[in-house]
Amino acid sequence: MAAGFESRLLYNEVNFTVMPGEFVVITGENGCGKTTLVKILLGLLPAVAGEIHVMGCRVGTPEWKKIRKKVSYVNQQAVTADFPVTAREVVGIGAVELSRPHHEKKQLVLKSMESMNCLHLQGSPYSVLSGGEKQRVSLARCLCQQPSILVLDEPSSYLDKQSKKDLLLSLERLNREDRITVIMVSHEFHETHAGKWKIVHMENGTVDIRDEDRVS
Amino acid sequence: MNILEIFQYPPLLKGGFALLAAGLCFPLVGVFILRLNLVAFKFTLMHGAFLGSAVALAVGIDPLVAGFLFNIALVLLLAPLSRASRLNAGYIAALFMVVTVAVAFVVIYKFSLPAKDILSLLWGSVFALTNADLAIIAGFAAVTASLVAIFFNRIIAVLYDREIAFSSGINEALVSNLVSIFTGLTVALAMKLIGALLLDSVLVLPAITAFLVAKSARGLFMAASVFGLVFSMGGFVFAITLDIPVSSGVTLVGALVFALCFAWAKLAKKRSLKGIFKKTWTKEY
Repeated sequence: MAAGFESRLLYNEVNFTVMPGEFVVITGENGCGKTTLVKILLGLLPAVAGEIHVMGCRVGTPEWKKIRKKVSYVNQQAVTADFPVTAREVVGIGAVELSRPHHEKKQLVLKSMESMNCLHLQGSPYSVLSGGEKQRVSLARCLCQQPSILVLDEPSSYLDKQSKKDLLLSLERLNREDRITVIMVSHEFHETHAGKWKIVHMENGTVDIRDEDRVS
Repeated sequence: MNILEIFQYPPLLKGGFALLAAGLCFPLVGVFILRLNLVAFKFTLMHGAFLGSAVALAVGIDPLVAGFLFNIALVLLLAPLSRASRLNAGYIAALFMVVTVAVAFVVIYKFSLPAKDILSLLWGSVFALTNADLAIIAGFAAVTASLVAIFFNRIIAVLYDREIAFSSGINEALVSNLVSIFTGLTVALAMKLIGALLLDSVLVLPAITAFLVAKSARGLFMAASVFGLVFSMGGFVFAITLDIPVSSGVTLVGALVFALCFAWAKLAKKRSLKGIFKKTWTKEY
C-alpha cells in the first residue's frame, strides 16, 4: 500500500499483516505517516495505491461498510474535545449502530463503563474530566461498540505517568481477556509492562516489523 | 395595546404562532451551525435566499418557495465544488456569498423591484404571513424536531467527533448532508419571518446561549429550544408593547438573556474555582 498527500509520498510499499488477537504498536518519528496509516485502515482517508483488507473485506467496498463498526477508534482529539456532552453520552455513541433493543443498549453502556472503571463518571461533563478519565471513557465507548479491532492514535499524549500506566494495563486486559486486536500508534511504548507486542517501525517511507517479547 | 388583544387580530396571532414554532425549532439547527462551524456557509445561504426572493419578486412567484429552491441548489453545489477545486469550503462559501448578492442587486435594479418589498426581505414580515406560510413554518418545525429526536444519538456522535461517528458505523456523510439541507431551509424560513438582518436572533443566538449553560448534549438541545422560545415570545410581546419591529424585539430580548446567562456562567465558574481552591486548602493544611 502507498500513501501520501498532493505531491508528497509518505511511503510506497508498506505491506504487513495483523493477526486476530495481536497487540501491534506503530512507532516512528513525527510526520512519518503513522496517523495516515490508521486513517486509511479506518477508511477515513484513501490510499494512493494498493489496498487494506479488514477481516477479509477490502476497505471502501460495500462488504467492508457492513463490518467497519467492528473496528473502533480512539483519536488524538479524544482528550481535547470540548463539546458539552456527558461521559455516558460519549459511551453511548459506541452503541448507536448496534442492532439491539434500546434497553439492552443502555445496559451495555453501563456495563462498558463499569468494565473501564468509569461508571461513577457517567453524569459528568466530558470536558471537565482529567486526561486519564477521558481515555477510560473513550475505551468504554470502544468496548460498547463490541469491536474485534481497537485502533488508538497516540492515546497517551496528554496523560501523566500513572494514567499512561493505567491505560496500557486496560489495553492489555482488553487484548488478553476480550481477545480484541489492538493497533496503537505510539512513540513511548518502552515505558510499559510485560507482553508480546508486534512493533511496526516506520522510517523514511519504509517499515520495519518485528515481534518483541518485552520484560518490564 | 393590551397584550390579550393580540389574539383578536389574525395577522398578529399568525405571527405569534409562527414565532412560537420557529423559536422552538430553529435553534436546534443553530446548534449544528455553531458546532459544525457552518457560520460562513450560513451567510452564503442568507444571500442565496435573498437572491431567490429577489428573483421570485421579479417573476411573481412565492419568495419563500424560491428561497427554499435557491438554498437547496446552493447546498448541492457548494460541497462538490469545494471537493473538485480542492479549496477550503469556507473560501467557496465566501465566493458564492458575494456572487449571489451581486446577482440579487442586478435583479433588483433591472426589474425595478419596489423598495418596500426588498426591505421586507431584510426586516422580515411576521405580520404578513399567509395561512400557507404558517403551515409551512409549523410543518417544517415539526419535521426538524422529529428528525432531531429520531436521529438524536447519531447527531450527538457527529457533533462530538465526525471521525469517531464514522468509525462507529454511523453514516456521518448522510447526517452532515441532512444538516446542510436543513440549514438552507431554516435560513430561508427565518428570513421570511424575521428578516435577513436579524435572523440569527432565532437561529444562532439561542444556541450560543445554550452552549454557555449546557452540561450535556441533551441539555444543549433542550436549552437551545427553551431559549429560542423565550427570545421569540418575549421579543414578540416586548415589540408589541413598545411598538417596535418584532425582529428588533426578539433580538433585544435575546441579547439581554444572553448577557444574564453569560454573567451567571462566569459567576458559577468563579464559585466552582473558589470551591476547588477551598477544598484543596482544607485538605492540604
